[in-house]
Amino acid sequence: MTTNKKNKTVSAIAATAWIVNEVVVSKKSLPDCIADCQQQINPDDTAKVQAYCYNILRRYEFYRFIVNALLDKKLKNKDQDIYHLIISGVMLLNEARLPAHAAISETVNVTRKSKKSWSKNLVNALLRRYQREQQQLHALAEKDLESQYCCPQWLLEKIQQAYPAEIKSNSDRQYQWQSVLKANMAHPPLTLRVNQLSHSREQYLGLLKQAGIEASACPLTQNGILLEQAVAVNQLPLFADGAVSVQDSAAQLSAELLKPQAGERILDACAAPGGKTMHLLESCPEVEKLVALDVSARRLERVTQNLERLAPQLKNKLALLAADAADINGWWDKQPFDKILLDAPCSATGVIRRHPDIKRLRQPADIVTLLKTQKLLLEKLWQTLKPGGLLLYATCSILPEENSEQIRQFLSTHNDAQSVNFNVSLEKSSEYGLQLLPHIMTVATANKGNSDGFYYCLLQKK
Amino acid sequence: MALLNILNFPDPRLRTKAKQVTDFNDKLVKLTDDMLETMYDAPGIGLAATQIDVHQRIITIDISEEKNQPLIVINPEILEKEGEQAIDEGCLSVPGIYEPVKRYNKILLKAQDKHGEFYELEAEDLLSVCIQHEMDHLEGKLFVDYLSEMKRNRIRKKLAKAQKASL
Repeated sequence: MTTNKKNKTVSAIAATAWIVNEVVVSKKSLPDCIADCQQQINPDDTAKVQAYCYNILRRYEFYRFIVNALLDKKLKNKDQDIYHLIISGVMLLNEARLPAHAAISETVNVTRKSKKSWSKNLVNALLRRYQREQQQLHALAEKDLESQYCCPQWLLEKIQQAYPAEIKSNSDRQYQWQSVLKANMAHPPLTLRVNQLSHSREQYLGLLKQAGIEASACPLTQNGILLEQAVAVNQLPLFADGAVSVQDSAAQLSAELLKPQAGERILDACAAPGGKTMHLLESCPEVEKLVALDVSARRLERVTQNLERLAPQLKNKLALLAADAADINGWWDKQPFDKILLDAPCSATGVIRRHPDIKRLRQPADIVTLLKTQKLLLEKLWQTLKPGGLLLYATCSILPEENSEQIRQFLSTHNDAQSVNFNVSLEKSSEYGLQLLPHIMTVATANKGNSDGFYYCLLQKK
Repeated sequence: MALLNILNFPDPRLRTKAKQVTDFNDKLVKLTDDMLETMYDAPGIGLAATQIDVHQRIITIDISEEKNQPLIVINPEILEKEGEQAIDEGCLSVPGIYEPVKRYNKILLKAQDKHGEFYELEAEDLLSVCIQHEMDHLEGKLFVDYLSEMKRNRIRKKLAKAQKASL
């Protein structure tokens, strides 16, 4: 017997529906689901499938609202694949540059090849009805808060509570939480970090100009570059030779705030995939030792790959350890650190615009677990810090409970800890750190550098 | 080891019913080795002795991606069966044709290995389909027999044309 390898590929829309269904139902991350499906996707369709999946997950609540309004009665649990096929079809009609009849027939064709041929008429009828009633349906969706801001109710409430302030603007009344939620739906820029061991930012901007890639210096950071349009990394000049890394500008602040110095022992407690680790090393190759920990040995391999691309000559400076940072009896050799970067596990609610699947994967209960982990890591790692040493607590979260509240609690229970103030661009940190928020790029926000949501607090041991 | 010649549909020898294996000797071991090599080379995931014009109840199978889990099935018997599924099947004797065939989803197989030792094996999905497909060969049956007369004729013509082109 033989199996059919050639006909194994499926259409872009079939792959999209399968991937989105897998993210929603199995709660697996979008990149993992795309990788699982890779073999069935025609290589020419890969970019298209990715764009489709991101489109849907960015605005999942909106599409869910539309499809629920179209359906007379809910589909059975076992037919969630058909549900997500309909969602994919509505997205095609709404966002893809495809004639409506083509979008509908592409979607209906998927049912012909599936075992659920009964769904053919249903999919066809619903998509045609969406086409006819689009305006009314969109007006209805505008009135639903979840669908308007494309955010699950529990998270929407948390963000509303955390950012009630009004933003002064000339036009409409707007609140901070609205701006955050809108930014979460937007397409993020591609941000680079120039490897200062190989080029200055000005030199690299020159290289980009020669290559015909439009870019500008990022106002938030010293080595950041914002690209007008995303390009594949292999098209970036000298990428393989380690001239640049892809890293959001907010994340680039960790090395700038921690300022590693010659002769220091530094710990990166949750290092993988190593973007910030390598930045620490690039910014001061004369450190005595940089210890990079991560709980996952498999993910630590990514750090090794980054080291080999960006600074293979500094191999002896970096010690990689697969260990749980909180288990200090297990990994720590009792030599205290001058500086510690604790980029703590968090809800990742600040990077939703880059990872829209977070809205599907996170549950309210996860936050409770994360708060405990963050607290434990702070407690334990504090013991490994030298008196006078600095610990930078960082998260890519925008929830105060993980950030300023976490630090407030820590300071109230640790007399030997004090918060150090710092300035970033035009923003000043408070005693409880600095919260950066994602925002839509406008003239008024241009100096903020279009960063992800991120939190930093610099703590010194007395 | 040696590569063996695979018979192509509609060769009448594919219709021969295979006999039970009674002698478990070195010759048999060599035959199963050759069958595996032929199957890997083809490439296929299963081969019945019928397809190489040896009419004994011998099957080789390997459904792993890495091609490192060969299975030798001699004198097979299905003890239990349940469920239903249809996946696209192809056959080394009917090259280039893939059609879905209804099969049992789960089977309990009893068979002997190349040294004559009896074993039982529970098989599901692709492995189950592959065993049933190969066992059909031993009865002189092909997967195209499950298709309509019209489809089978079209396949016959298509293969004749392909053969002519390759001559």
